[in-house]
Amino acid sequence: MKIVELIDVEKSYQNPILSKINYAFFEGKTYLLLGENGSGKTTLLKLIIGLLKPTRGVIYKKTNNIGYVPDYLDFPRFLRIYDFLYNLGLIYNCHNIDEKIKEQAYIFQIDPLLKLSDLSKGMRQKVLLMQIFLKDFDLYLFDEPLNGLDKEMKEIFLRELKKLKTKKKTIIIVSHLPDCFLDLVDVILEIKNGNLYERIN
Amino acid sequence: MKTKYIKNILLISLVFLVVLLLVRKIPNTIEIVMVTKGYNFVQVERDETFEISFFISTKNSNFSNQNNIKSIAITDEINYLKFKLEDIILSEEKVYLKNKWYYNVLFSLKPLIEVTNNFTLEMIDAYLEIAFKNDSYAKLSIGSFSYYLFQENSQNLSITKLKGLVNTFNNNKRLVGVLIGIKNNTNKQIKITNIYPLDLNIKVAYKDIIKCNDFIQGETIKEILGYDYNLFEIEENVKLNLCVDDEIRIFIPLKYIKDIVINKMGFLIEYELDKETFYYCLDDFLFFESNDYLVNLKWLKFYTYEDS
Repeated sequence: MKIVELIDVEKSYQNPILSKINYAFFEGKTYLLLGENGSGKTTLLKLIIGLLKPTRGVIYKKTNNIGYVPDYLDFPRFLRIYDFLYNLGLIYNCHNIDEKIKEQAYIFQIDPLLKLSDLSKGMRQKVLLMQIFLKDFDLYLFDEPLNGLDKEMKEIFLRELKKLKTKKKTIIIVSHLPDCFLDLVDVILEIKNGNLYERIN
Repeated sequence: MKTKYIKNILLISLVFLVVLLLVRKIPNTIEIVMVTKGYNFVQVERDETFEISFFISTKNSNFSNQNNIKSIAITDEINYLKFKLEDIILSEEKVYLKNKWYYNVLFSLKPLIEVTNNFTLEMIDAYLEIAFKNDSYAKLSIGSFSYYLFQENSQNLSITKLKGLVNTFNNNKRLVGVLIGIKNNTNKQIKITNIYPLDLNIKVAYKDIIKCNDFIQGETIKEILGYDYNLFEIEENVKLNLCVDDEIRIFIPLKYIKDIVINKMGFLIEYELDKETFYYCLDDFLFFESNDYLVNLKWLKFYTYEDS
């Protein structure tokens, strides 16, 4: 069953980025989205979330329960990891937030009492990943999720991703490191010159 | 006979078509103007409301009718804060922007969140999401948004003075610094380690902080500091270490991350007492009234919406 469908979707800023894209994402599938810098990968994710509006065309979504890991986020300045995640848990209407944060902190090997402003790049990435695992989303979008992670952390993240796949969640990943995901993905997509091309993995 | 019959059929079809066109509800195109600026909301009591205003080209629309609105949220890439729409105030005053008249609409909102402790949410690139009962929705850029709920405020210190210095910059009024009096209510030394303006576009210039008893409104920041001051040059990695034994009055110069109008803001003071970190929240304060953003089109975002 389709979870997101793009019909004649175009997006332009000063120049056209995406041109007349027609594509359907299906439930339970894992997609890897490739393309050069500035090709429109992040734009496509933001169109799916609804943060951007297509210049033309429509996007049908079966769900609005979408989790997103952006490639960068300005964290609140004076909070600890725990408070940040706890507040997110509250706005996500999560149950057992405290338990979930402790579980994620254990998985990603980070002290939740650290102040967000003191974190290194790799640690910030861990927090970005931890927030998406707080809630049970229908659709998971990851924009460069391996940024700043060491080899061990990459493996841990891929293990967590496999768990989502086992639960038949729909996953869309944007990454400059496609080889890491080849065992996981069902469909590889590439944005080239504003068009979206599909190849089965 | 046959020709007359065809003529009648054509006439009936034409009348039917005209009636159909008249009866069909044609969606109105509404233009919306959002002011992208630094929105901040400090809530010390749960009853306080957050107000956000924007401009619409048509007086009667879904945007100005509370009964047509299903839900309101402020959102970004990962955050989604729902609000209860308390009231909509449609102003009779009109503004003229890009060859068109617009009416001012003000939404009065209350966060819909169950919290027992303090709560902080900061969004550098936030959107006002309005879902209508006809299943359409509008997502409108508002600039930055930050929400601070401080239900448990520290009693170790109190504020004895608060006064903003407003200067003119590029023909716009700007809050360039704040005079704060801080009183230590304990018998131990308090060490202030950070002063956070509760707006995402402003920082405190720690290295330019001076002790100051008062200033006269109308003085420039250059006159107070005694040297040229750049409002946009952000200093990095400067630590604050300000000891308060009894009471101090300091002038805090501000830096702007973005060229934006901020006229209302609170502060969060981070301090150490007995090697433990505490926070004191200074509720948001209206430093000056401003409509300056209306003369600068770069702060305005124009949207169109099909109102059906």
